[in-house]
Amino acid sequence: MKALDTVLKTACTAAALIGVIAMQPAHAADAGNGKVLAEAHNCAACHGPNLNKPVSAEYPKLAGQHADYLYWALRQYQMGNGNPNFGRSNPIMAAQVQSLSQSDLKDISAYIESLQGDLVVKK
Amino acid sequence: MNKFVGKCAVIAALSGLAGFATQASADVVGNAKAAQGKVAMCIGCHGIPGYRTAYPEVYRVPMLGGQSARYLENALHAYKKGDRHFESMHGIATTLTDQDIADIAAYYAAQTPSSKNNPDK
Repeated sequence: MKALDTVLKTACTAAALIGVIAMQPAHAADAGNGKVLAEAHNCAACHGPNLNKPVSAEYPKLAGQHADYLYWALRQYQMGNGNPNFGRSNPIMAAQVQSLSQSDLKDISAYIESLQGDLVVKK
Repeated sequence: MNKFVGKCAVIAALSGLAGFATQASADVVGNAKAAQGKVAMCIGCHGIPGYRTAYPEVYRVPMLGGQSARYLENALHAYKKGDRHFESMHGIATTLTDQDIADIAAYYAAQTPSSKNNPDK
């Protein structure tokens, strides 16, 4: 009886653990890795301290911007503008994102969204 | 001799005109106030918190308030010209003059957390 109890307990613990692991999203963006990548790629050299004070008004403020938009913008710099439905032509950004994987871009986007900045939504 | 002087005068006048034309486009100064009546189409997406696009990717449209004016101007010109591809933005940007673009860029760049919403919309 005691043996059966132990088996049951072990089975329940295992099931619970599997449940917890399964609940993790498959490719959750890692803002910590995004910070490392943003620093390695010198984003702040143009977009400024905290990515909120660009060194030239030609460059956008990034801090706090929506991560899903940032990811798609970065992807478009990667793809160029050969397709009529999407894409961006920008030599500086195209060079910057060339070596990054899609999961890297998601991590960078998550990091940028986590920063506090000037951007607001107003009518 | 007279003919030569005439030619020089024509060339001088033409280069003067060309110089004026380039300067005119570079000198467009944005007026945020003037954009109040020009941003109805922008507000329909960018003025709604969390608003998402539908095609070809789904994502939240970018926040524009507080963004650098020159960057916004360049982005609108790029959508107009085709250096950036997105059908809705291309459609809208082609209806805008250089002055409209400068005004709209100034309008969004001036927004802060304490800005009032557009009284016209």
